[in-house]
Amino acid sequence: MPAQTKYLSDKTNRFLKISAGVVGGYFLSICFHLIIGLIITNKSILVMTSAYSAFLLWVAFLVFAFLIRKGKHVWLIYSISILILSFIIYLLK
Amino acid sequence: MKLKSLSKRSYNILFHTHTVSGIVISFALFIIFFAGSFSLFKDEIYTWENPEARFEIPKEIDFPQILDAVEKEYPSVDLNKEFTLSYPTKKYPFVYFYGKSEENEGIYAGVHPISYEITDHDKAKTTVAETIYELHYFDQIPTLGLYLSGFVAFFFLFATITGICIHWKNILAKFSDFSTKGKLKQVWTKSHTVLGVIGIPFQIIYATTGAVFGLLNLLLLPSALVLFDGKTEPIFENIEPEHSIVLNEEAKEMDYSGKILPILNSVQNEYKDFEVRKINLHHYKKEDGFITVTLDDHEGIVGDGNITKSLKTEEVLTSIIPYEKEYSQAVYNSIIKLHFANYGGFFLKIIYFILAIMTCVVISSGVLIWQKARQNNRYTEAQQVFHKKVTKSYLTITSSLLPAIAILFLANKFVPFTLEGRTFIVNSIFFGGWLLLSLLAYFEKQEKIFSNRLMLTAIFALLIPIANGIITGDWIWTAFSKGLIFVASVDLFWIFLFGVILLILKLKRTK
Repeated sequence: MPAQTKYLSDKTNRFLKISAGVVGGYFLSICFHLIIGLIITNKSILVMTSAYSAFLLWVAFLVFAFLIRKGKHVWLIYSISILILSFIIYLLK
Repeated sequence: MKLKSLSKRSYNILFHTHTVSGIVISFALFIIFFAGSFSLFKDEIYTWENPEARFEIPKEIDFPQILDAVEKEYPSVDLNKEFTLSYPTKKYPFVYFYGKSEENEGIYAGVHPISYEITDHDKAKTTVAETIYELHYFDQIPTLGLYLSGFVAFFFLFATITGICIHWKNILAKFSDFSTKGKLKQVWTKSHTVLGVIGIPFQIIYATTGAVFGLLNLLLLPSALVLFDGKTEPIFENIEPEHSIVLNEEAKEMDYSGKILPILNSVQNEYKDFEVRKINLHHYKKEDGFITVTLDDHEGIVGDGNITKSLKTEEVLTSIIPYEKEYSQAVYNSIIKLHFANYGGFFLKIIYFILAIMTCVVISSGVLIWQKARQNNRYTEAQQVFHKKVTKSYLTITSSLLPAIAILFLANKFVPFTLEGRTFIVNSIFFGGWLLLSLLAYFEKQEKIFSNRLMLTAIFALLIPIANGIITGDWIWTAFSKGLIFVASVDLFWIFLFGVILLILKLKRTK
């Protein structure tokens, strides 16, 4: 049985969610990793771990993007989070 | 036992994303997995495809003489820059040279360890396994192909994770839900979930490691920019510590050609259970030159390492000892080993092969149930036609790949080995054959496409060992008695496949 359409979003929302999940999710995942990398002293541990953890976190953000009702809210949450995390990176550096 | 299920809304949303992402990547993902399953045996196929590689490797390899031959063939080669020499093996009996010219252009060549004959990488006489391997990450499309395969791997990870989510409630029961009762549609649905659930660890390993190889730059660039002031070298110095050694460009000229073998022997004596995989040299002709020996036991996931010794004093400069690595030294090479299955031995490769084929079945059954579930009046006529067209295209392209690979093996034997530019002809026959078989399938009934392709493959599969026997003289039994186990194994594989296909066709007829 295919999924019931009443739960699915329209074209605009779908586009917003996918773009936020793929682009925003990527930057969010990278920002998280960079912050940990800036805190710990042995940076190579973080870089090597990110080889697998960065993708898993990125996928998690993509899944999460679909579960929020409105596409613009996803973009709002993700862009604000990216801004805050980038600011933390700037402070730590 | 049942686990907590998702809410109705979440379930339907994730179900839909699983379906759509799956359909979008299905074509590419099938090709990646199918070509990948053959690529697992890339090295093992080599002696089969190249009759000139069927010789006994000498006990001692004269590396200085090999380097002399390289210098004679490529006068512009700069042996003071880093270069690599692979150690010949039963699978690939040549020494593979990789170095740089004075203008920093890459030089790649195979060198015969007895006759010192050089074959430039671009003039290779045979590329059967290489072609399948390159298809595996779409290397035929320059630059973009690798990224494309990386993104397909990423969305495959997404489809796997959402697949786990939607089957979460009954995931324990789905492990053993084998049954071939009911309509064909139900069989497809069951095989999709059961094989999908069994393959989860394998699929997550491949989705993640595949994404790493395809999208490595996306990962490394931010880290390099923020953590290492824009340099990527520190990231790799961790795995190849010899790159952190500072070289003195003003160092005196030196001749260390006599040192390579004694150093190699001393390393080999110290690490008796390990095979030398390759050696790397820096400043080969200068006083501060050093040699890096890469070891591997091909068993443990951290069973590789490298020892760097000074050419002058023979003392150890840097080292990564197998099984004594730190976490950060082990991760990247473990990822490579997990992906290429070069640990755990030959039997593990076979398990990998079966799991990869199983994943292909999961992808195909996914496409089939997608179409069958949409064959009702909830969808307009035009939509249903579209679903049918997509499914048929998918079936024509994917099921034609196996006979096309068989054609590639045959073409490798039938195009004369001495012919100039033969690899281009062989590859054209492969891709042309694939295209032709796909086009022909478009005019066949959908139910017939798969079995017709299997039947074709069975015929080719039987011809392959015969062609190899007639043209190279190494029939299965002669190859075995000569100790060419890999040549014989490839022939045996095709005969085995012939048997399997007959069995499948028979089962299908009784169904």
